[in-house]
Amino acid sequence: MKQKKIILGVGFVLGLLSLALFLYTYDDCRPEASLDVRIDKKMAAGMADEFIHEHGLNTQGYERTVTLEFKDQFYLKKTLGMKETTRLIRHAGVPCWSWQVRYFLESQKEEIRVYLNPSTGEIIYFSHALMDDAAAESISHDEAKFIAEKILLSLNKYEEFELIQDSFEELANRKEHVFEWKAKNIELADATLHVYVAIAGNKLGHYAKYVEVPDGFYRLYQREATPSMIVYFVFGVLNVLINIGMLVALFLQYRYSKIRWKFSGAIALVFVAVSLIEVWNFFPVTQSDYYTALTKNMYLTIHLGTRLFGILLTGLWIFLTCAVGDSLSRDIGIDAFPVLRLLKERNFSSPQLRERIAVAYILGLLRTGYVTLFYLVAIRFVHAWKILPSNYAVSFSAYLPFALPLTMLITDTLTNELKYRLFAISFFKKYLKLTWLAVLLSSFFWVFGNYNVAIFPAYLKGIELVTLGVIWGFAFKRYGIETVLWAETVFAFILVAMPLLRSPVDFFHTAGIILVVILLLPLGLFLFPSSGENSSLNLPQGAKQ
Amino acid sequence: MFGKIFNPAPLEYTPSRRIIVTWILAGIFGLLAYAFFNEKIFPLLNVNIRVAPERAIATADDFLKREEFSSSEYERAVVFSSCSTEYLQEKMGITKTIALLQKDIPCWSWDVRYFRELQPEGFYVSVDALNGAVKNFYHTLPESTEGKKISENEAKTLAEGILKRQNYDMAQYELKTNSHKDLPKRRDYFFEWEKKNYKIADATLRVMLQIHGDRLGMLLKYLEIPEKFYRDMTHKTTVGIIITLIFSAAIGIVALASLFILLIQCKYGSVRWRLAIIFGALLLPIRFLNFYNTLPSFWYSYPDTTYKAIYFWISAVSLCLGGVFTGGFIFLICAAGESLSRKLNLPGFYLLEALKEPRKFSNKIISIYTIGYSFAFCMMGYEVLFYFLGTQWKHVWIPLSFSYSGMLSSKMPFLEPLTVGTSAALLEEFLFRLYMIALFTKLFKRPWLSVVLQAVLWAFAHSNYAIYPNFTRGIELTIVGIALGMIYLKCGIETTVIAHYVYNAVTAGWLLFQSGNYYFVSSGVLVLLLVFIPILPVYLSKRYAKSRK
Repeated sequence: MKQKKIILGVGFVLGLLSLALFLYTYDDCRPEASLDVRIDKKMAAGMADEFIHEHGLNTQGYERTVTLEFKDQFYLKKTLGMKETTRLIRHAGVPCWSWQVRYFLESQKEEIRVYLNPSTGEIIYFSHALMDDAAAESISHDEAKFIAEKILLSLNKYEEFELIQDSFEELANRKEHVFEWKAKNIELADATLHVYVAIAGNKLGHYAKYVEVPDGFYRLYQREATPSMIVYFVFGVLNVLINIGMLVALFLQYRYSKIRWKFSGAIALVFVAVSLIEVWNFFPVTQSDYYTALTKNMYLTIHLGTRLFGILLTGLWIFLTCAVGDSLSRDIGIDAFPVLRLLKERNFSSPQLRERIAVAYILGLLRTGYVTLFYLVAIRFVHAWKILPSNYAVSFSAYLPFALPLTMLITDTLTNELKYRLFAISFFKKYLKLTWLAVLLSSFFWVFGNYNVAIFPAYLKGIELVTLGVIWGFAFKRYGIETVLWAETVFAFILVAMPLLRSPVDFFHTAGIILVVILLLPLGLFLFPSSGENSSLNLPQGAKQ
Repeated sequence: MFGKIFNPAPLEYTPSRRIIVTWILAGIFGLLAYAFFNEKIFPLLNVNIRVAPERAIATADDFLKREEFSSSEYERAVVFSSCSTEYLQEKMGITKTIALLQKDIPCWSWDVRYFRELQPEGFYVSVDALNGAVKNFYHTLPESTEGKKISENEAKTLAEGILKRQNYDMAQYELKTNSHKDLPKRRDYFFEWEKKNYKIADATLRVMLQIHGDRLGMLLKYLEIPEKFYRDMTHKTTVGIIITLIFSAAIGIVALASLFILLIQCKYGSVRWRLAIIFGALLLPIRFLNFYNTLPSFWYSYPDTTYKAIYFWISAVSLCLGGVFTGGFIFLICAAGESLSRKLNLPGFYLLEALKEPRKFSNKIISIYTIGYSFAFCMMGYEVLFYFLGTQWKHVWIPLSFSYSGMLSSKMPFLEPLTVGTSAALLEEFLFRLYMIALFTKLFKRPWLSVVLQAVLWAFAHSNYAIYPNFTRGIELTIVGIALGMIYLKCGIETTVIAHYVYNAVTAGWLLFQSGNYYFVSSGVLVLLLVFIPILPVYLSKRYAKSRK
């Protein structure tokens, strides 16, 4: 017992050191480090209102939505590296993140979008969508050029530009004039900074400041992504086989073993309920994506209808996976849900419960250090770079930014853990007999089954996650699924909390603090005096301690 | 009395001679009605596609040569494409629209793509399928490719020269867009002209031309349709999509229940796995045949950023997976539906039962086939009559559509009705007739209610078809679905599968048969011969019985 405590203590210290390393090198190897939100939604909307009125447009009666968007700078990351790209985005105004303020009317094409840099409030994109036959005052091409130049200079005070595109289009009831400039003396490897201005009639119709990437880059990027696409595809095929195996196992287990339908049903219900909360929490994004050719009711029916049906289908799949996985794990003697069992028994002071919680925190913290070290080495030796995941933008757009990792715990992590740990390990172990092979196979399926092209060179993700999958697999076998679930969640919490905590905006900063508090909540169980009892006598039938 | 006509017939039941003769007469009437009204309802079927794909490729080669592009190192892929005609039809009516499409506005074309593995540069040349003239052209060229930087006047003169070579009278056109863009190593120009004094309602005829450096980059002739029309159409079609989604969700839930039914049935050992596996597995070769047949369209869509072998194998394996999914689905519903039908004394597989004793049931086998074929012809006649009346009363509107582009683009057009027809017939008949009628009968105890329910679900899931008002297709097919349900209850699932397949095959073959092209006409004849494929099992089983004797 004492030895166990020492091991846990050492693990905890190593975990804290990992976290410290993660925080210290955050700007160097995390793509989301470029996110710097100093303006809240309300301020962004106010600035957008002001810009619109300055250009003689009226948005009275329009609905307004504010969401955080991003356009990843793949090229800069690949050519200049992650650290330099983060610096350019955070401090040199290279567009990446933006508050999108959208003004629209139901079933009307006319709408306005303004994108602002969330750090400085700089306008980086504007569009006033009009019907092709909308009338507007016609001005000469020279007058339009004068207006466009004025806009260019007012929004870009520090750069020098050269005109590269000049055009006009005659529409049914107005003329449109388009101009595009390239910034002189701004070097972003072979990329250039461009500004595009379109004058619709006599007013600003479109403005965009963007990094023009050499056109061969995307072909190169797609080719580089090909190996991981193939791996993803191959394992996708194998995943189909796993699902078929799951169905066959369902029939066999139903026929010859006991299945806990109610338990699996309860887990599936939790998934459905949490997914519904997630749908509500991300509703600002749904509203912002409204397509104006449809009525709002039609749009919501399609969007929410397909989402709800998807949730029901996934819920059903979770129900079946959990039922089969749980039944198989009991057959091979794995105690898959020890924490739930102990909590159900109200055995809050059990040392086993404490041990599992402590291990979850240690594993979650150690992962931060592992990932940091892994990418520090990869960046140093193979110039690794990562694509921005969309979680952060969604989190800042949501009603409750801190709820994202909580809902993800159920909608994303739980789904994966039930499939790749609970079911796959139990299934492979039962039919292949070898534990190490079962763990290795399941971690391969876990990694490559979810293998999107997010890290370059593509093989890095495989190396990083297969190792992790093996550790998670053995942790599952020894401590049960909840430990692995919470370890994953600890890591996800830290990732999502970081941009929130770094934001000086009160609302986001508080959301970050709430996340940390939620993260620490399970530690409250340590407040119960330790009973020192071993609850192995209450293990489910067939399960081994 | 009402419920009686929906009562399932016992296995021994054989339709009387009078019933068979009535079916034959009804089938003949249906076929005649289809032949007579089809052209009035779907006039595009009468479009004479004179140009064969090989001729289109030769024309495209000549065009590239004339414009001094070398095409010798490129691979070619050709597909048939058609334009959308809704606007013209709404503003001018069907007859004028067709006349216009055959004269002024290119609509049906063979699109030839020139491509090389992993190379961004390529060409698209569109050749009119009616008169063999080049209509549109596009040269995909990286922005970094070197080219000249000519002046605006030079570019404009060059562009007008190209258009004159394409028989455009530039005096009739007025410049609407003038644009240039400086790229790293060349300057591109973009011009757009509109035909003067030429308006169809609010639409105008435009021609776009792009110059890459000092060479032709793009040529496109098109009808500029008011944006509002497209937005209104999107709104209209979305209503249909929503109805389809709602009904598809309901169907999905009912279909998923098959898993649990099967679990329960399996525990009692009353599932005929082998039969379900055979039908499920049947879909895999059909899928592969379809893949082979659609290779031209497949290569036309090749993304030149990836290796050809990778694109091919990923697509082939995906197709295989798709086949496994659909086959697995057919397997599930077939196994669940068949075991449930047997439990409820519903017909299930009458023909298969009859084939076990072909001599004893020879009359039954003949009647199953006669009813299957006759009902297919009835469906065809009913469909055209339904829409003829609907359009006469001006409540129903069917945009002219050419939904058989895939078939014309395929390697062997006669195979498409076989592959598509078979999978649709098996999937839909097993799901709605075999499985759902059994499930609903178990739940509601009333066969008539089961028949109506499955028919409504089946019919309204087809609401995404471009037929307005959106519920029209649902109403039309509900009646067909009820009839198919009743036929199933009297004659078994094979009769409805035969009827469904024959309907799909004959309607597709009809189009080929009517085209003016020799190759398509002969393909059409082959398709019409393929409708006899369902007879094959009977012939084989008789031979088998004989050999056993």
